[in-house]
Amino acid sequence: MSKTFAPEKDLQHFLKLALAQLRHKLNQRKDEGYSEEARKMLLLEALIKEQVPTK
Amino acid sequence: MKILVIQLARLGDIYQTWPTLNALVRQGHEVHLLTREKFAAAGKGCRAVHRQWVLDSRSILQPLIDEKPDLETSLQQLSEFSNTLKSEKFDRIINLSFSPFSSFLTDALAGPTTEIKGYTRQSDGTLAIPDDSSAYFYAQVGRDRGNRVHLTDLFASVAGVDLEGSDWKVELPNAQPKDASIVVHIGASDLGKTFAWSKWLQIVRGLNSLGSGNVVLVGSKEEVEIAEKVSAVSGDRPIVNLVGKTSLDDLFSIVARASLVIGGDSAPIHIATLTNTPVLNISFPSVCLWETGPRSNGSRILSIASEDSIASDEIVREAKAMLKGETTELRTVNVPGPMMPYLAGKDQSKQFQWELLKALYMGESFPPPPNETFLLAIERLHETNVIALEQIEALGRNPGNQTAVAIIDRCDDIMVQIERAVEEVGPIIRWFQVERLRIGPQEMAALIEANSVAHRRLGQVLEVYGRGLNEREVGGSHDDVNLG
Repeated sequence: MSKTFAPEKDLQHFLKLALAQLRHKLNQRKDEGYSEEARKMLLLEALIKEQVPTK
Repeated sequence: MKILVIQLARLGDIYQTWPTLNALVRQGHEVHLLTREKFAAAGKGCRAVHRQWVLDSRSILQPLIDEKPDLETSLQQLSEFSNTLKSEKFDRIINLSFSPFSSFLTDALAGPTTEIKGYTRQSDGTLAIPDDSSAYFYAQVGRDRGNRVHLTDLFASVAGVDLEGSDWKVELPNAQPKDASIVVHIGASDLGKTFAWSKWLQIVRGLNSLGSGNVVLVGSKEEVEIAEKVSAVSGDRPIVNLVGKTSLDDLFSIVARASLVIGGDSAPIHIATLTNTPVLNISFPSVCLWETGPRSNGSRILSIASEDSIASDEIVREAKAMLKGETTELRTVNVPGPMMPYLAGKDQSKQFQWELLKALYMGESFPPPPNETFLLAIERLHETNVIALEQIEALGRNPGNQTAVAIIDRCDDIMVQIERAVEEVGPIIRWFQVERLRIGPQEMAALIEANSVAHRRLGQVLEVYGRGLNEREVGGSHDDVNLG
């Protein structure tokens, strides 16, 4: 399937999937606090959240 | 000083950042600007910017758009982007975006000696608001609130610059003399900020019949279809339809030449501010006119509840009056120029909240209470605050006291409920909440003391009105309250 021209609903689906994966990884590293690795993931998480409609 | 200004919002916000960028350069700084790729064109025209950086979110997120999202590649691309920017070693980062992402990015780009203005992150990853102007933004800016400080002035305040007249001016390479044209922007970034095309059709027809100058339609490619319907107006003179055909540079020339710009809250009215072209701004409830209206001298803002609350004829009459330097019976907010506040006339909506904000943040006197309900809310807040303070003291004696923590949380909930019930106390509660939010991670004893100070300061503010509860004469002096 074409990645670039994914319909909007597919785009949202994939971004939400990525968000869930990121959250899982962050939970696995929660003992590290605000480490360098966690910072990168939180940065990406915030970028994705801007694209995903919130409640 | 080498400064990075982060402005990741839309076109209008970028244009409203230009005076701040100009002021920073006037002070002798080397100014870099970071924008999103989608709105980068709005930064490119600003001659003050030494170098513009572009965040290409689409490329960074592209690896995630797949059956098997490739997180590592996205993370790597984002890291490369932030590492490149960080290697520039900015002396100061000014984040004017007020978004969670921008706060994480600011934190990622900062070195150990970087001075930061605007949202960033604490050492434990929670939100940090280092300056008072950003704290004001967090607490008090947005529609349905009492703020009347314009976004352009707030940006300057966060950046720590005082704007001068020259900061609002833009140099156009191919400037042409003024003509009698009327520029109409028929679109907006969202439909809640503009009329339906059928209304614009009537307005454009009326403007065309004035015979004062060409009616020029402007807008984006997404608005081409609407523009074709609107421009199909029978009359002696054809409508000049430039929708979807102009670059932002072209738009500057078109707006600079015009006698009047008409439109909702969108990029052309902010361009008109920079070219000092008068604007008739139709302001819908989805925006706050005080924060994002035009600033060009002679502009007028028509605040309307809905499309149906004003006739197209009235808008045409107002436009005609503006061209002749006359007034109509319509209630407008008038704009005396970029360096002066709006003249609200009879528009006193949320006047009390605005006066309360001036007392809380700008050292002015507290206004008299607007009604008995407000005083009742103050009384309940005072009681809640006393309980919270008692529990903080209990925590001081025994930091492991979970009952005290639970009661303090409950007090926070009650304050939120009071704010929902009586909107006039909102500025006080939001000011207090943000002051507490600004307390960063620290040792338990220091944390307890900082929270205690915040609650005591809240108590001092409530006292001003508490005296009125007993004496029924409120309007306390700011000298009585130490908010510093």
